[in-house]
Amino acid sequence: MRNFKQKFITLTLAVILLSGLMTACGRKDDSGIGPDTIAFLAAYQDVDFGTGYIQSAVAHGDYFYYFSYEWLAEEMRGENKLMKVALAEGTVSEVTLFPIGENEHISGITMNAQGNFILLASAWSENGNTFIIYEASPDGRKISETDIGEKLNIDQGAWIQQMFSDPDGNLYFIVSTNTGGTNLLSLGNDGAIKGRVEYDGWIQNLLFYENDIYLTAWGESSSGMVLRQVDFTTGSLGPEVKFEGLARWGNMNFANGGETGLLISDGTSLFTGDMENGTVTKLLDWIDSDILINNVRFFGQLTNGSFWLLNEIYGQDGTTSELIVLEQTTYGELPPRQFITYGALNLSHDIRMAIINFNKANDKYRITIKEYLNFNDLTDDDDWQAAWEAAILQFNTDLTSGRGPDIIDLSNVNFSLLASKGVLYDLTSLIDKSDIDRGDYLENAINAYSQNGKIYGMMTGFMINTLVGHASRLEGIERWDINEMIEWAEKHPESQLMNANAVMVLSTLISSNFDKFVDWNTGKCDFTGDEFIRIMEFAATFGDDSDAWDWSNPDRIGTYEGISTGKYLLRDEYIYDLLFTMSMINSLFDGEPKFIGYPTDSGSGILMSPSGAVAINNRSKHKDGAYAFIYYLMSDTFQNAENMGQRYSIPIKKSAVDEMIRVATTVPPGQEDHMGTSGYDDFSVDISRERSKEFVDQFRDIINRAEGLRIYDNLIYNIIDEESKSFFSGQKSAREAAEIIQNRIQVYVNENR
Amino acid sequence: MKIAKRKKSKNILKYQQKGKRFSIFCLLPSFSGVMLFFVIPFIVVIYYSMIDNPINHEFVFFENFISVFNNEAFRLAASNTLKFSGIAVPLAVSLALLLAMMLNSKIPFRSHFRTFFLSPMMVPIASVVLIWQVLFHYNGLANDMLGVFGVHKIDWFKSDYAQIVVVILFLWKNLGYNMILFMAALSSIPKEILEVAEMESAKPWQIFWYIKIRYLSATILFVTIMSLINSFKVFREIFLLTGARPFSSVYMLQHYMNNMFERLDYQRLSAAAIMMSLAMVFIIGIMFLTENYFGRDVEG
Repeated sequence: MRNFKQKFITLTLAVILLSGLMTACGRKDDSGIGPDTIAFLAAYQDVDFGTGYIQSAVAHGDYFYYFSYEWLAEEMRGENKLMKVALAEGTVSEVTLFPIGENEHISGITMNAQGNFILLASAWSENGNTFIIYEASPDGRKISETDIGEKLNIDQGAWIQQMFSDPDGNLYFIVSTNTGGTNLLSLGNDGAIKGRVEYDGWIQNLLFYENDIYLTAWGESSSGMVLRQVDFTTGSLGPEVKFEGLARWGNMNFANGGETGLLISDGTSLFTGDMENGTVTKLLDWIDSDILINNVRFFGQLTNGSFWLLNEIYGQDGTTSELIVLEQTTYGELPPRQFITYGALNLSHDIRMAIINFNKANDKYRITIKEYLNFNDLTDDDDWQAAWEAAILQFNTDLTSGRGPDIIDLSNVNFSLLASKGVLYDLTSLIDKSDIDRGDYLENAINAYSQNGKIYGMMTGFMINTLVGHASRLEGIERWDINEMIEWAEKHPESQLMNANAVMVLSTLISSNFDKFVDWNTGKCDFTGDEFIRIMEFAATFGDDSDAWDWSNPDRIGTYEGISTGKYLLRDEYIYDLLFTMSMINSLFDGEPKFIGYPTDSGSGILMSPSGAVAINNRSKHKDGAYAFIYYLMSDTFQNAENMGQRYSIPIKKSAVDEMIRVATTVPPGQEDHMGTSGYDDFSVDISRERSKEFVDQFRDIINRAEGLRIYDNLIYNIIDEESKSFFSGQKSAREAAEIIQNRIQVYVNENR
Repeated sequence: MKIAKRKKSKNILKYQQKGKRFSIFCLLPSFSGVMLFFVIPFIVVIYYSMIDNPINHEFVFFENFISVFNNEAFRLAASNTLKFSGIAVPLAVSLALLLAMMLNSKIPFRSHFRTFFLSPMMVPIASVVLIWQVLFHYNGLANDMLGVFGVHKIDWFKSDYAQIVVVILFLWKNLGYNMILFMAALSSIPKEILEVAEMESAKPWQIFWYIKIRYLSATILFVTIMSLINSFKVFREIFLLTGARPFSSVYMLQHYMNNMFERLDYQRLSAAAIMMSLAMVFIIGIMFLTENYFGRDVEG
């Protein structure tokens, strides 16, 4: 027995020791990435596509061909050049093309099995459109010319969106019709029309796979893009081909390549696809190669196994394109960097872009993403609420078990709870140690995520949320509490406070005033007092319905009509820039808006609604690296006004705000001031930089007066919302509903003391 | 001879040691499972109950217990749970026993009644909750019937009447199972003893109290313990009916613990769980003592 005991103990110790030793070998770090983890290194090809949509391009083998466009000012004409990119080498050369006809414009290019170019030339004249198919050799010599306009028989006003060819030399045309749909035409290699398929939605692309033809399209259902087989014989489409595991709302694109002969990009990742089984195998996430996918129209695989893609980025100044080749390697072969995990319940586009730019520029740290819920992965059949709750549960479990991310995205999480539990690291010392001067930032923004004098989180940008009314009706009122607001509304019996129903009005009145009814110090609630009951009775006067979004109602009063006639006194507005939102608000209120704020006992009532916020996990082992990313988010690179404007966000850095104002009020040389019109519902406004100068003081004023975050205790609000409905529907009296609210919230308050 | 004897005893010892090793080896999976899923988690719970929060892990010993015990929400939950168990469990036991005795006698349609009382056990809980919501909704059947008698509508789930609804739900769900257990126990009482008692002119209540209860004592204990455990599990029905933060009258211990988990308050959750376990051990200990007293003279 003694012998057995000794042997058992020895064996157990040996196993434990060996396990410990073995785990040290090839150990992955906290991010789960080890030296053998496959990586795809992105090489940006030195190709200038200019700004503009690349209409005509084709990939063939290891080459990419496209038409560049240049405006020859002296000759007052544009010039197309056919460019050839050797993808593997990254070199660009011109293919000297035969001269095409006057007024002709190359609107499509493809290649046949022999490697010759098939060009679609379009010309518009008084007599109608002409379409000519040219065949040209690889060195640009014309081989043949065929007028196909009559055969295609396209309506006047319709246009050919894209042209494709299959391995047999048949041609396919996506035609945008006058009725808003798209048609698909097939022209055989014998010159005869093979078939026509009509489609109500928008055909994005064609895919040729194993002798079959498929189209990808938008607009057919609420499921995002669809893939359907085309049958030209019957002129019909087959059922939708679905692949499990693709992002639901992603911009799907297909190409031939990979082990299965089918490559799929869903805007987030690259996969090989099995058409028969509807399954996919992930090859890479685009973000891991520091690529922010906007639209991948062209991609494929080179003969050496590398992947390539043309990434189109839509911006205010037009579309820019990047040609990228991805070479497979391992993280062990790359320069070593410390991995920092960024955890988010749902990752925003702005942060995704920031991470990519940070990873590209920083050679010491690399951020990997842990996203707890991607809405793209959910279908209509999924229980979205359950998926959200499961994501929160996983997030909380990771935090408490020590497996949480280094950087915590504060969007959609309970900041107060995390700060009070010690989950978040105090950033004050890191900020003070770095070269950041707090005076360079908006004080209200930098302190927004503070508790007890310590900064636990940092906002990256914000919108301003406030109530706006006509200055003439709000004369003498600079701010108000709930009672003052109700009294003011009652002085205007002919008008309605807002175009909202009872629930919305109740939310507006109490969302900034929970502390009025809940004293966390004493634990007492006061929802049965006269004040709360008065609020409920006032909100009840607005009824159940609001015609704010009832577009089918012919008696619906438009937004501008409602405000200008005084039917509605206030509007709930979100302001994110000077040029557009301030212009629209000023237009709506005939140049006299007053940003009065929400009713509150103290403060301005003008709230900041964060467009992003981050914090550091208190248990992170890489706080320096985590702070490096926060430092980047506070830097000029991220905070600059141009990017912020595109993000619908006001920067937190003062100089960036100044720059935003400067850009919004300065007409660039050579450009016109008028920037088009903007609006919605029954009003629109001319956007003008000159005019925006009138709103600068207003804009600065509301930024300075904004305080507090547009976040509140959801639990309290949900109880009030749930119980007040029985009063609004007439089932209970205000006092009865208030007593139940009091009872339930009191339990909640007691729980948390 | 001596050598042979020594050899034989050595062989026996060796065989016994082998047998012990083999039995340890066979027990290892079960032992590991019990350790992994019961003992270790329990130790972890005790550990969590003695730290300040799951992030800092600073020892505060019994501060969490004091804080939880003084917390008004916990006290409310504990009193509601005790009150509910104090009402529902005796009712579940006594009504089930009464029903078992009724169905044990020769009444017409006995088997139909048995099926009727057993059928709630087969209904999925989501369906049960749905039925109850329809019955006791503010505009539901119960209020409609009250309206016939001129009684004002009652908000069954958001008033003090909520406990009544939950008790009825609990009884409806559990009576059948308890009844079956009692019926089995009643049929195992030796008939000779009952016959002798009848012949000795014992009254029915004397037969019940001095004979049947004695023989049923073990079953009563078992049914009571099971009902007590089920009374704690009624949280599931209440949660489905009224959500995570119900009206105060049906706010139970498990609501408190659930909500602490949601708020990452693992220390309070653990402290509350340990206090609840200790209370359960105490109550069940008393029950065992009572059973020992009543059942001590039962044969076998």
